[in-house]
Amino acid sequence: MTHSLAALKLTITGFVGLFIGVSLSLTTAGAGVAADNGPVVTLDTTRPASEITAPAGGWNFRNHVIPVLTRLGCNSGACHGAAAGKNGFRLTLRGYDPEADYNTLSRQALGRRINKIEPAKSLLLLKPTMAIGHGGGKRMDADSLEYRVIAEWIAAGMPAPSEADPKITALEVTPPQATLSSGADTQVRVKAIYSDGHAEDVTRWGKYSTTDSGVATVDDDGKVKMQGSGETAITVWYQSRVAFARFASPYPANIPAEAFDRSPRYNFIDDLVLKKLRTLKIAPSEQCTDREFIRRAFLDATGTLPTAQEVENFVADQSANKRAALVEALLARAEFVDYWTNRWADVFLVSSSKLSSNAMWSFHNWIRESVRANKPWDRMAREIITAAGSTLENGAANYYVMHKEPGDLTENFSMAFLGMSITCARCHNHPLEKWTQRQYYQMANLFGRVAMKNGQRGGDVFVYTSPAGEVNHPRLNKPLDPAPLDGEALSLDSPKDRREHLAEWLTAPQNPYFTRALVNRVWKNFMGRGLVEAVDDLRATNPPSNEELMQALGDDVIRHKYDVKHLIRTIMNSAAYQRSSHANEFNKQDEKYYSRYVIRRLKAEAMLDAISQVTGVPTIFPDYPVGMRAMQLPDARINSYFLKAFGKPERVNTCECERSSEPTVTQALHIINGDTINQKLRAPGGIVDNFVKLGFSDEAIISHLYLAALSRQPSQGEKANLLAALKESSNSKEARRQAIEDVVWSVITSKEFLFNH
Amino acid sequence: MPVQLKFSLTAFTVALLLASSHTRPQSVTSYSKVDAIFQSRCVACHGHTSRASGLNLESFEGLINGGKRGAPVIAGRSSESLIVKFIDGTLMPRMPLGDQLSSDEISTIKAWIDAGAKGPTVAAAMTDVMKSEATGKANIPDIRPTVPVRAAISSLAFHPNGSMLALGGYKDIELVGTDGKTVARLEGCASQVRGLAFSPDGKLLAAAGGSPGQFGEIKIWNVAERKEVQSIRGHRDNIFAVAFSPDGRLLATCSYDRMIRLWDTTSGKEIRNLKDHTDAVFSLAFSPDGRLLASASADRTIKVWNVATGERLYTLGDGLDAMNTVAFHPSGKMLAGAGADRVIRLWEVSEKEGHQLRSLIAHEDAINQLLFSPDGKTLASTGADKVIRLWDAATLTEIKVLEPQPDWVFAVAYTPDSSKLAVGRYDGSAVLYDLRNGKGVVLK
Repeated sequence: MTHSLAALKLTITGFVGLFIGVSLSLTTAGAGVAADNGPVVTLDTTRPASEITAPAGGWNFRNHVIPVLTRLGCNSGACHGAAAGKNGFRLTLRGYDPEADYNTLSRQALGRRINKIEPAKSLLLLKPTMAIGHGGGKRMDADSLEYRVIAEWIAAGMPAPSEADPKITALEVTPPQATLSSGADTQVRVKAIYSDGHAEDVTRWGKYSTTDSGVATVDDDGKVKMQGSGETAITVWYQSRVAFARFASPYPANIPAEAFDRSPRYNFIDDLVLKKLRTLKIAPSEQCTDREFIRRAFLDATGTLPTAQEVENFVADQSANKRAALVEALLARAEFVDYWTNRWADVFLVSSSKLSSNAMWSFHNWIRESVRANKPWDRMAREIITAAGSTLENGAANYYVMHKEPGDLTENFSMAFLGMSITCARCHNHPLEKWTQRQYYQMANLFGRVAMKNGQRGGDVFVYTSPAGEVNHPRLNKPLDPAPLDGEALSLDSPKDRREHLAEWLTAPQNPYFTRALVNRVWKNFMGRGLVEAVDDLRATNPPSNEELMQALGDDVIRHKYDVKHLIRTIMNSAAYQRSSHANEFNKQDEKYYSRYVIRRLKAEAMLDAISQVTGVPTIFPDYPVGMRAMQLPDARINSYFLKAFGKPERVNTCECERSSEPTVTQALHIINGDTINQKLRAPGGIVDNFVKLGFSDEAIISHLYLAALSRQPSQGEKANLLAALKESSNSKEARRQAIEDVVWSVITSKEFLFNH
Repeated sequence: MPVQLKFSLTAFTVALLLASSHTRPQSVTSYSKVDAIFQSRCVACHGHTSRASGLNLESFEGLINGGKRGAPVIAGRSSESLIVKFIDGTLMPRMPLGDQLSSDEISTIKAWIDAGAKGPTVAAAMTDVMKSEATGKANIPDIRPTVPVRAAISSLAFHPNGSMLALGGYKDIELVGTDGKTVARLEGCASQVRGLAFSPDGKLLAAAGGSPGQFGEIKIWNVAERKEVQSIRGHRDNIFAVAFSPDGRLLATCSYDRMIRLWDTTSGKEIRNLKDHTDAVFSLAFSPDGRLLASASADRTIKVWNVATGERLYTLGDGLDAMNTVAFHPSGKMLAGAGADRVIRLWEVSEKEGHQLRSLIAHEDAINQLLFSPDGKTLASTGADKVIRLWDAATLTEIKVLEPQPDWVFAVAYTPDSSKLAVGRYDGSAVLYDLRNGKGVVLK
C-alpha cells in the first residue's frame, strides 16, 4: 500500500477518507477473505509475488495468463499483437481472442513455444526473461508474479480457455473520485468482479491512462500524480473492460463564496455548472451585454447576424424576459431551419458524391422538413434506421444508398447516433473500449437484410428488407445472433425486422449513448466545447467534464421526448450561455468548465453569409438561385474557394473532425486580400455604393457599419480614428469611396467580426 | 597506380592482422563468442529482415558487408570501430536501445576486434553452438509439471520395409513393431524430436529437432545396431522437418531460422545452405528423382530448389497465409501444399516451373500436415480443426473423414503399402488407422 497521506493533506474529502479505510482492510484481510461484505477477493496482485498463491482452480488462461501477456506488452500493437506478428510469433491484439492465443502458444509451429515436460525451458519464459535473446528485451524477472503465473499454468498442464471460465462482470476503481492538491500522488486500486461472485485485485495488470495529463498523470502501476489544476479521469482498461476514477485539483485561488452565490441561476444547468466551478475554484465571468447576447444568439442558433435595426430594437426593449423572448423568436425563424438542416446534413453526409442529384435533394428536403416540424430526435433516428421505399419519396432511405456494406453501416450508425467510433472492433476488440469484435459483427448482422433495387425513375433506389441474409463473423466464419452493441440479441431465425430491433434499442430511454450524443452535439454548438471532447468520442474512458450536468441534460431530453428545440431553448436560456467571453482573474485558464463564453471563429458558411449580409452583396453559387446563402446549400459538393478554405466539411465520413476550425495562412490571405471581400466592396448596389449614393454622413456610415457587423456602436476612440480617416479623403469622390471601402474592409476583417464572442 | 595502392593496403592489413594475433597468443576470442552477443542483443533490429540502418548482424557475412554508416568493424582497432563507439556510448544513440551491454560483453567484442575480427570456422561454429545452450545453465528455475503430462508425438516414420514405426517424442524416439510393441528406445536428443526419416535403404534413421530459439540438432542412428552414428548441431533455431534424398546420400533440414540446409549423410558435414525464405520453414520434400526439393514457409510461399546447385528454381506464391506443409506426389509431377489459409493446393511442377492445378478450402482451420500415400492414390490432410481427411490425389475429391481427433495431429505417416495411416498427436497419443475401414488401433 503506497498511499501517501501527505498527498491528501489539502483536501481530504469524505470519500477519500472512506477509501483509505477500504484499502487498509483489503490489505490486512489478504487473499481469500471477504472485504466489507463485498465479493471474496481470491487474488491481490499488489502483494509481493512470493506471498501470492494461485487461486483455487489454478491460474486460468483467459483470466490470468492473457492479462499477464497484456501487461507485459507481449500482445501490444508494436510487438506480437501486430497484424503481422513479430519474428513469426503472432498474438491477438491485447488478447482479444484467448482461444486463438492458446493454440498459438501451445500448439502452433509444432508446439515450439511451450515445453510442457520442462516448463522453465519454454520459449515463452526464456525469451521475456532474456535467458535467451529477445528482440523485445527483458519483460519480466524469473521471480516476478508474471513469471509464476505463466510457469505454474504450464506446469499445471496448460488448462485451455473454456466457456465455463468466470467472466468479468464489473471493474471497480477505488477511489472512484478524489480531490487532491497539485503535486500530490496516490495509488488507485482496481478490482475485477467475476460472474461466479469472486473478485480479484488486478491493480498490477491494469492499463492506465489519463484524459488530461496537465491535471494528473498516471504510471503503469496505477500511481497517480497531480500535475496541475482542473479535473481529469484516470481510466483503466482490463480485459476489454473499462472503468475510471475522477481526480480533481482545485485552482489555488481564494474565491469568495459570493462570487458563486451572486452568479445568476436561470435553470438547472446553472446549478450544476456553478457546483463544478465552486469545486474547482474557478470564478464565473459576469453576464454578457444585450448587444453581445443578440449577436451571439443569432449566430449560434441561426448562423446569421442580426440586422442593425434588430440590434437597436433589442437594446431598447425594456421587458425583463427579452432574452428568453429573443430565443423564442430565433427558434421560429426560417434561418433556424437552414442552420440545423445544415448541421444534421453534416452528420448524415448529404452530398451528391454518393447520391444522384435528385436523391441528394430528397435527403436534404427530408432533413429540412424534419427540422421545420421539430421532429423529435428519436423519431428522426427511427425513420432513418427503418427507412424503406423509394429514396426519392422517402429521403431518409438514402442513408442505405450511401452506406451499403453492413460494416460501413455499423460504423456510421455508431458515429452518427451514438457519437462513438467502433471501427477498431471490425478487426479486433477495441483497444480502449469495452466493445469486442463479436459485438461488432452482432451489430453488423442487424443490417444483414437491408436490400435495394432500382427504382422506377432515374436516380431512384428502392430500399426494402429482405427475408434472408446474414453477415458472417470473419474469423468464426458464421453469422452471430444480431444484437445492438450491449443490447439484447435476436435469434437468427427471429421473424422480427432487425432494423426495428435496432431502432427500439437505440431510442429506448435507458440507452445512454443516444441521448448523450445528441446533448453533446447541441451543447457544443452553443457552448463552444462539448461536455465530451471530441464531440463524437463518447467512450466510457473519455468521461464528460461535468457528468452530473450531462446526466441532467439527458434526463431532461428524455422527459421532453427528444424535443431538440426544447434542448436548445434550455441551453440558450441558461446563465452559463449568457456569460461574458471576457476572462476574470480566476478563470483565465479555464476552457473546459463554462466559467465564460468560449470565443470561436464563425463557421465557413456563417462567415461567408455574414460578409454577404454586411456588404449587401450575395455570393453567387453556380446552379443555385441568386440570394441562396451558403448555409442553405444542400450539397457538400460545391465549388467555393472560400468555403473550402474555412473548413466546410466534405461529408465523406461522419466525424466532427471533418469541419476544420484550424487557422491557416490561406484563410488569412484570403480575408486580407482575396476576391471574396474585395469584389463585394466594389460591387454596385453594395453597402459602399449605397453609403455613397444615399449620401450617408461619416458618423452615420460608422454607426450603421458597427451595428450591422458587430452589433454595437463604436467606442469614442474607434469613432475618432475612422472619422479622421474619412475626413482626410473627402476632397475627391474617388478618394472618399476608396476610404469608405477601407473602413468597411477594416471592420469585416477584424477579429471581432470573424469571431463569435 | 590505384591498383598498387590497394594491394599495398591489403598487404598492410594482413600484416596488421598477423601482428595483432601474434601479440595476443593466449586465447584468441572467437567469432562465436561475439556472435552469441549479437544474436541475443542485436539481431532483433539488426537482423536478416529488419536490417536497421542497413546492418545485418545475423551472420559474419552481414557484419562484413556493413550498413548505411559503413563498416562496423576495423580489424585490430576496436576503439576506432563504429560498433564499439555505439555500444560504449561514444556515439549516440547508445546501442542496444534499452539495456546496455555489460562491460564483459563490451570487452569480449573489443578483444575480438583487436584480435583481428576473424570470422567463424565451421568446426568452431559447431562446438560453440553446443556450448551456448542457455537452458543448461543453472539459473533457469526448476519447475516441474504438477499434473501428469505426456510429450507430444511430433514426428513419425515407417521403416521402408514396414517392419517398424518410429515415433518422435521429447528427447527420445520410440521404435514400435508391427505388433504395436516397443522394439527400442533411442535417447539423447536435446529436446522435442520434430522430424524423423528412415534412409531409403532402411539402414539409417535421422531425427531432427533441437532447442527452440537456440539451435537445431540432427542425430543419425544405425537402425540395426540402435547406435548413434552422427550428431550434428546446426541452424540457429529448432528444426521442423528432415528428409533423406532418394539416393540416401543427402539429408535436408529446415528450421525456424528460415534456412534449409543439406548435409552429407556419411560425414555429417553441411554441404549447402538454401536461403531465400523470409520466415520459418516448416516442411520440405524431395522429388522422387532427388533433383528437386520443395519447401513450405511461414512467408506464405512454397519454393522449389535445385538440389545439385542449391539454386532456387521458382516460388509458388498462391498461398494467402503461412504455408505449413508440402508433399511431392510419387510421380514427381505434382506438388501439394497447404497452410493457415485452410486451402489445399495442387501444382503441376517441373524443373522449370509450377502452375496451380486445383485448390480447395479443405478444413475449417489451419492445415498442418499433408501427405501423399506411397501408391500415389490418396492425399491425407489434417489441421487445427482436429479432423483428418483423405482425398483422391488426382481429383481432390474427398474420400473419407476419419474419426474426430481429440487433439491436434502433429505427425502422419503412411505404411509403405499405403493401407494404413499412423497419426501422432500433441496430447502424446498415437493411433494406427486402417484406411479400408477407418478403424484405429491405439499405439500410445
